[in-house]
Amino acid sequence: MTIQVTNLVKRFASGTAALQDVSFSVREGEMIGLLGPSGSGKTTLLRMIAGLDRQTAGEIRIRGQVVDNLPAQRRGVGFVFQNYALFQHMTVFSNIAFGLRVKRLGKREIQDRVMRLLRLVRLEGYEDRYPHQLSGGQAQRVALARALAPEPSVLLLDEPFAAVDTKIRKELRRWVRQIHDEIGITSIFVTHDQEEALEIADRVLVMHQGRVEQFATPQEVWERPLSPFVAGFLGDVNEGAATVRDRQVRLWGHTFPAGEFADGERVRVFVRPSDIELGPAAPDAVPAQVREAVWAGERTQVRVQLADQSTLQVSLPSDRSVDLTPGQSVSMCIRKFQIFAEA
Amino acid sequence: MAGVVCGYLLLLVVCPVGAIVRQAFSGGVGGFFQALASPIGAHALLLSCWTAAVAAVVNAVMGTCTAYLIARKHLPGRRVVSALIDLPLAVPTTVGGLMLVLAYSPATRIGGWLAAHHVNLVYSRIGIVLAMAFVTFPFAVRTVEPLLDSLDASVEEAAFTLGASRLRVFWQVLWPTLWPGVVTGLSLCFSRGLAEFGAVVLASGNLPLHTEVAPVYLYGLLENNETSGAAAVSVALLVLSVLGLVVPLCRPRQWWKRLAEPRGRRARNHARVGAARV
Repeated sequence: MTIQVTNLVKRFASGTAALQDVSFSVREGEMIGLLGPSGSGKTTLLRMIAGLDRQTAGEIRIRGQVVDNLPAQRRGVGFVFQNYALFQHMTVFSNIAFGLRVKRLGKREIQDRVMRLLRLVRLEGYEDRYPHQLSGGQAQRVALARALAPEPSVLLLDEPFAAVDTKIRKELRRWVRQIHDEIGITSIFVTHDQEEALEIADRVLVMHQGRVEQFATPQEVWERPLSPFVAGFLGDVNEGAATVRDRQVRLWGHTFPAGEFADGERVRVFVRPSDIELGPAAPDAVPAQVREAVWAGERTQVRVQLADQSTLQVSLPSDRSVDLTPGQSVSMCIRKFQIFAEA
Repeated sequence: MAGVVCGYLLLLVVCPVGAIVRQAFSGGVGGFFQALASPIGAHALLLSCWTAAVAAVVNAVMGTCTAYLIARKHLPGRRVVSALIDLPLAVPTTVGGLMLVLAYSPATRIGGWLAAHHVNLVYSRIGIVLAMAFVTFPFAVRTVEPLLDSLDASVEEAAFTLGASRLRVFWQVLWPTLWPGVVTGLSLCFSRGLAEFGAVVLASGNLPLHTEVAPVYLYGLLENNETSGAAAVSVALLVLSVLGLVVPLCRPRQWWKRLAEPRGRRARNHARVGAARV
């Protein structure tokens, strides 16, 4: 275990709890996505692992060593900030060399290592530039090289792509994943963008109100969310509430098996727009009426209205040959769903 | 518009300065220097200079620390501290001087105890520095604070995670950003300290050849109708004060840059030369 967090609690001076009893462990070489809405405590957690904030209670171990009393300087943790936090008055070279000079390495070694890192982040020839002469993507790559230079055992990234243009963001995150694979460093990155977390993380830690909601692979988190929050947070979702009768849940003209829930229990049902199929109207199928269809490239977002007046969001591949003119009657089929007890 | 401003400046600054210069040189250049060379006058000017310099340096250090505390640490009572810092700007300087006297004169408990240990906080040269420091402290803080605000705290934190000590973070990360503010504060404190009359006249004791500063000395000259002498001292103060404000404007940028980034460039240049030779 590279990082082991046990019963971590953080309360601010105002009394509000930022973290409540957080425990998890990260294996060597893993890339973890810390996912949650703003205010869920994910950045606080990251800063405490780095030693930039101190926990109220609980324990953090890095490579087996308890680091609770070690200052940030001695934890051997690389940190990449959302706003890059480059040293503005230093060149790219000096920025990357900063941590190496702190370690008092020889000039030649510093020179070699900085050049190697510049190659790694594909910024050869930029060593004499100043941060204000770089684009956002380049600046973040320098920040990454700077964090990697002292060869930390753990790399922490706080919303590393949030300040970068949308177009560059996708490219940058794939590329960060590539670098992670190349040097095999254990990494944790914070994000509020579920697509980002699902795409590049080995495992995703979903946080909500200072607690861990689920810690699993992206696929598992997507397919088998453990809580209504996780089900609702990962992408768009249709949500409805009903009462279990005859071991079944009747909702939206559909009958869902109630599974472990007993008769009389109130439950919440979650269905992703992409798990709903539309077809031509048929006598034995659930009827629906198209209210609105928005073509968005590969997929078309459709809003349908059911017999009970409720509306559902559906996401169809655009090449389906279904008439989606508003007012058109269609049939609807739900392929996948999640049921949770109503809290 | 421009005409109005020019007229206003003429009325407010140019004419008075012209008048005092004319008066100072009414006895010719010789007369001007003679007035300055009197033992009491020369001592007063010298005393003014070094006490103002000491007060400016002390305030630059303490002002930078204070600005850091206000900008970075979310201390409770931050607003109160901030208001306290601006207090010297709000009260008449004579009131400031009186406060110092009432707090630290040998007749008080603190002052008495210190006097027993041969430290006099008022009616002494320390008193002069103290009065000047009191009056100029807001400048030292407020010139540095906006620069600290402009520098995100994460830049310091990045340096910490890279293993840098607090001292290294100060010199290599904070100082390159802060120094223009510190230098500006230093020069403002010096010029303003040099000019201070109200607080100093109450706290210094005004002994000629011992604790009499130039503004007080020239006031004495005026009282004795020695207008030309007073004008000469005034012009000398004016020149020193302007020098204090102008010198930092000729920014020794290159020099500072070298200090801020000492080894990097040289190391690489060295390496390049080495590579070229190979």
